[in-house]
Amino acid sequence: MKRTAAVLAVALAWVVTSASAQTLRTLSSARQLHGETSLIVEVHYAVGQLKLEPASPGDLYRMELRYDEDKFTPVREYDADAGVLRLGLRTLHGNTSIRRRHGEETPSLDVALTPEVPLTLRVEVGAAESDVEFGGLQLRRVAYKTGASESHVHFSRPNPVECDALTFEAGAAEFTATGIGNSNCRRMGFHGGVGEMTLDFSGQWRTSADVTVKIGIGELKLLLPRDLGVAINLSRFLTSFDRSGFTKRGGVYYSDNYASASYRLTLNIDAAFGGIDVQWVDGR
Amino acid sequence: MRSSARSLLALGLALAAAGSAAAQQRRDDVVSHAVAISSRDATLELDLASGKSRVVSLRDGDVIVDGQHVGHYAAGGALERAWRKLLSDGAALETGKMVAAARTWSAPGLAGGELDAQGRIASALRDLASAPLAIPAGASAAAAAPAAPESVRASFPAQPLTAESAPPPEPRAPAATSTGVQLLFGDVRNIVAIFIALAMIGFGTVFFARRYVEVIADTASNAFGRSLVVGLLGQLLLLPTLAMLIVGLIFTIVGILLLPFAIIAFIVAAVAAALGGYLAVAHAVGETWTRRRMANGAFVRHPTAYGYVFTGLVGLLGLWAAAALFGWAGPVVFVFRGAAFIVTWLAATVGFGAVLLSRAGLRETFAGRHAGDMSDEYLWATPPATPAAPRPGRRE
Repeated sequence: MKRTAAVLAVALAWVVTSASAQTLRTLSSARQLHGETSLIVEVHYAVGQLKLEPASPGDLYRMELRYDEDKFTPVREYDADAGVLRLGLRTLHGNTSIRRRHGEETPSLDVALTPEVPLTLRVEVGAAESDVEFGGLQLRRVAYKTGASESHVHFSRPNPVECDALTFEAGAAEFTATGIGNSNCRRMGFHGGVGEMTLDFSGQWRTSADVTVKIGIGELKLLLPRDLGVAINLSRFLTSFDRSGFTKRGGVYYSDNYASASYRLTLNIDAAFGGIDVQWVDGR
Repeated sequence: MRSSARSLLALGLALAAAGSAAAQQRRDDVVSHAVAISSRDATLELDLASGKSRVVSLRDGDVIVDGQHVGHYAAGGALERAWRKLLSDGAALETGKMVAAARTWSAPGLAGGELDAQGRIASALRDLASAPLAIPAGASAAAAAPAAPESVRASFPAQPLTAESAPPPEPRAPAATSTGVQLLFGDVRNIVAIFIALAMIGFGTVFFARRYVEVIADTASNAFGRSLVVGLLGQLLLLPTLAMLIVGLIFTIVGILLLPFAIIAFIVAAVAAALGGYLAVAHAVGETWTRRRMANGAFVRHPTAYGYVFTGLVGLLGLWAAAALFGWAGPVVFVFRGAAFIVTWLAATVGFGAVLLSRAGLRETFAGRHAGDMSDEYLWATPPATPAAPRPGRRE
């Protein structure tokens, strides 16, 4: 009887230990500006929740990471000579898949980047929910790649510098970008695999832009400012398109104000199996 | 003369010492900090301007400075509590304030080994200072950007930045696929590609397993309702069957080794059954249509299983082609798409059911191939012998 009780106690302890085997670690890191004139930032993040926003004045970056130290190891590298900052979380021992038990806390990464230095930014997110605020950052180039995740990207304030290229790639995901007009970017690309993509082009337009949108299976929702001249080159397969507000000339859909608009947006859309929904909104 | 030379030497040495101290001080400037806290350890890492770092960690009862064990602490004791408080309070601070807090840190009520350990920590942090803050002056920051490493540059488009003053770009010239007719051709091209792929698979299946395809097709034709019901049930039971297979293999212990192969084999079998069933239904559709034409008097040269599959696929994919052709017509396209989807699903379901019913074409029970009485057709071809009337005068 005593032996049975002991075995049960050990088994119970094992179950409890297994269920709470997560060893959470919090890493807070910060670096202040020391005369940097530009910065290349790479953020790699596999699983969890990602938040990215502008940092307080004086900070080059600030990162707060919460993760299971038995599964992950943090990445925090800064090459001052090359001006490259690498942040994120990678799996331990080369593991490519991470199994989460029920009740385990979701890893999280909060990154704040300096608004005082022009940035070239590359973000790779795996199966994570991300909430990104680019408003106020000095963005020169952005390459944002996400796998199976829910991503919300906001440009709530204008980009003070000219942005050369902005590319977003989303796999099986829900992707939303708002205030794209604030990005001050001439060339943009939004590539979605399967899922729902919402692109809100409102904001302070200071340049015309050429945008490529590719979506495999899913819905594309376009929010277009009324004061913006819009032309759409559409290549679609089994995809519905709401053409209200457009006139078709030579295979291209033009908004009625296209000729007179101060800034023009050219959308090159390639879509299959889904629908394209257009909503006209006030500019700012 | 000699005294003045001594004075100069002393002054030089003093200046050199001062310069060295300043240089030493600059090298020990802290440029960034990181605080890591978990149930196992509490670590402060300070990155110095010299490229080195100072790491102070309390881990598993050991006090570690730059990887060297310098003392012990009691778990949950005064030293650990004070150190963790310093780190958790300092995590949100700027680097300069964090350094200042660390330099003045002390834990009250320590004695013995913990007091010694605190002294070692304090001496490790005492000489550190935070580097002065230097915020770039706006526009000049953008101009003096350092070159990115090749690996980083490769990640981004290499096109140069265009001048802001350039006129807004005109919309791109209509691309190769942008006109209505070309869009139409693009859609139809995709349908044709799918048709060719299915036809190739169908011809291959007929070539290598004609008998089985015909049995499945006959089963679908002769037992349509039964095939549909079995196909529906089969679809519903696919996942439970897979789950049972997995559980069963796990219970046998030895079967765990076979688990990956079994799962792959199951998925391959399910896909093959659905695809093979669909092609068999195409065969049945093609055969039915061809025979009806022949019954109406049309001349068909060499009706074969290849022709049946081809004709059936034309019929089954016809609605998709119609949907593609009417893509410009707005809501009408949804009618075609809906119909095409239903027909495709129905064909796949019936085909899947026929595959199950006929055991992948091995069983002819539902294929309508009875070896019973001859049909009226044969009776017409070879009429039964009419009993002759007995000749007059002849006795039986």
